[in-house]
Amino acid sequence: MSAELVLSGVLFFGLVVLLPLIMLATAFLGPRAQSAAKNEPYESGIKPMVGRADQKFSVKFYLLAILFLIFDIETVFMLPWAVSLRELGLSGFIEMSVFILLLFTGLIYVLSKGVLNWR
Amino acid sequence: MSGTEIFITIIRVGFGVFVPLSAVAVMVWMERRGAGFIQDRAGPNRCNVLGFRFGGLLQNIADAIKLLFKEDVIPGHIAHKFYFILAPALVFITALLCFAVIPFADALVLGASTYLMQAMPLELGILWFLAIIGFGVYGIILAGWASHNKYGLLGGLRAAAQVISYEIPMGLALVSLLAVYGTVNLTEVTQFQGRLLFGVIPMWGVVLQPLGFIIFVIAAFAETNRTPFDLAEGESEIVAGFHVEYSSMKFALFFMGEYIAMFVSSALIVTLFFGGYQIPWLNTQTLVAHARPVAVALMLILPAAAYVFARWIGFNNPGPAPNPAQRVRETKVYIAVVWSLVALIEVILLGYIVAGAGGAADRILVVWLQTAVFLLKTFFVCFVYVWVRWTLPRFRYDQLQKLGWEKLLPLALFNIFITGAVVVALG
Repeated sequence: MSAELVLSGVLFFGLVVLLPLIMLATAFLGPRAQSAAKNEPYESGIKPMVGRADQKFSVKFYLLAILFLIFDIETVFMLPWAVSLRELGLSGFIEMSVFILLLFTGLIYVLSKGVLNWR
Repeated sequence: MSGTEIFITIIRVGFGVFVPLSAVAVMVWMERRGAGFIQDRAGPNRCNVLGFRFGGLLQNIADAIKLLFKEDVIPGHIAHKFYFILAPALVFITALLCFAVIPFADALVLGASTYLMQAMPLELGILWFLAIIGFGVYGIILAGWASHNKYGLLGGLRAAAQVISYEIPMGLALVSLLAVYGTVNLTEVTQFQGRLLFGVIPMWGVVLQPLGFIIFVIAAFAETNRTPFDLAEGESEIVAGFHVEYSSMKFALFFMGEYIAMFVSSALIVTLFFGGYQIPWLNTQTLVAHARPVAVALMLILPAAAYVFARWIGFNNPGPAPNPAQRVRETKVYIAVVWSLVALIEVILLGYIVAGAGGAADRILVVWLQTAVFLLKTFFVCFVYVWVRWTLPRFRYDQLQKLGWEKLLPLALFNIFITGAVVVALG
């Protein structure tokens, strides 16, 4: 690690962390006035009647996160392959084509199961 | 470390932090003026100091002061105050960190040492960007959860699901780009784009990867939660989404984080697809070798641009209402300011041509020129963001997910296949 990288890293991270801290610290500049209405969830001026913040939410979001994990790791596998594609040549290309095809089949299966049908 | 090294490091870090921050002001201004122009309504035209409005730029300063002196409410129903305060800072920090690896000029060679012109001289390039942008989701989902508000929670979930869904087409579009460039280092990527295809067309990413460009731009719009993908803060459905409970500077941090993310992704689009700091047909070697003629050309172009600006603003700014004399005075001052700026630059360039030409001065001139070109291109892409926002309506949520998973993902895989075949065939 060069001294240049360390210095710029310390400076950059320092500034980037310091700026939001300063901005958060300006909170004391504003006035203070407590009232009952300010201390309940803001729902466009209506008292919260239907639903709670900790209620159950659609399982679709959870499925999407799992799908994301699979395909994001696929992308991570592809990055080093892409950078060194010229050295790998034809054999590397064929191997990755098989990999892509397998994952594409998986995607078609997932879509045909109706994961993305929001009802 | 020598004095030069420390000086250049400080300059680079300063650029990397304060340019995105000032870009927030410029983009907010662009957004308001753009909305005014596109939807045919009044822009920011009231805020002034002694009658000078600076084209609406003063409105930003007024807004900043207002946000500073607003009451900072932390509602009583919030149980986890630490996470509630951490979330906006996290959004802001991750957005700003992404800019660290984007080169704003070609590597500067001074004597024996080479300086990469990016805030942190890393060679990780695109990997750094992918790693940091993944962290942005934490801030959003933390804000939604810590708000303890059902709209906030829904907004946070929507934003998180949207960002992770579009990260995959974005990553896959990047894979096909990396196959073309053969490197993750963004300075090398930009140097690659300085070459010419068939000796005529600049080898920009948009020419080599048109499909990848379309996928990447759509994914970038979704990643920054911009219209037509701003489901996370759909006012008509969930009030304001994940920042519904935030006020004062905490809200401002979200706001600035969003605009910085937009600026950074514009900069990345420019770097990957529009040749970054490269001027078409004039690569760095050519510029350094012909630094004197370039300086002379600049000395001619700048006054011409100032003249066009003076004519344009002299024609457009003096209007009937509310005070014609004030408008005329305002216009006169603008023109005087622009001409004195041009005169200052002319004097510097003249000094350079007479005294300093050759060696290090040439390279520093080229760095300034390339930085200016990079910023011009980036602000143009920022304007495209504004343009799209005030033109297109919002998607429905299932349409958004279907576009990501059923259209963009197979297209991106197809693009990788085609690109790989072509790269292997051409050796």
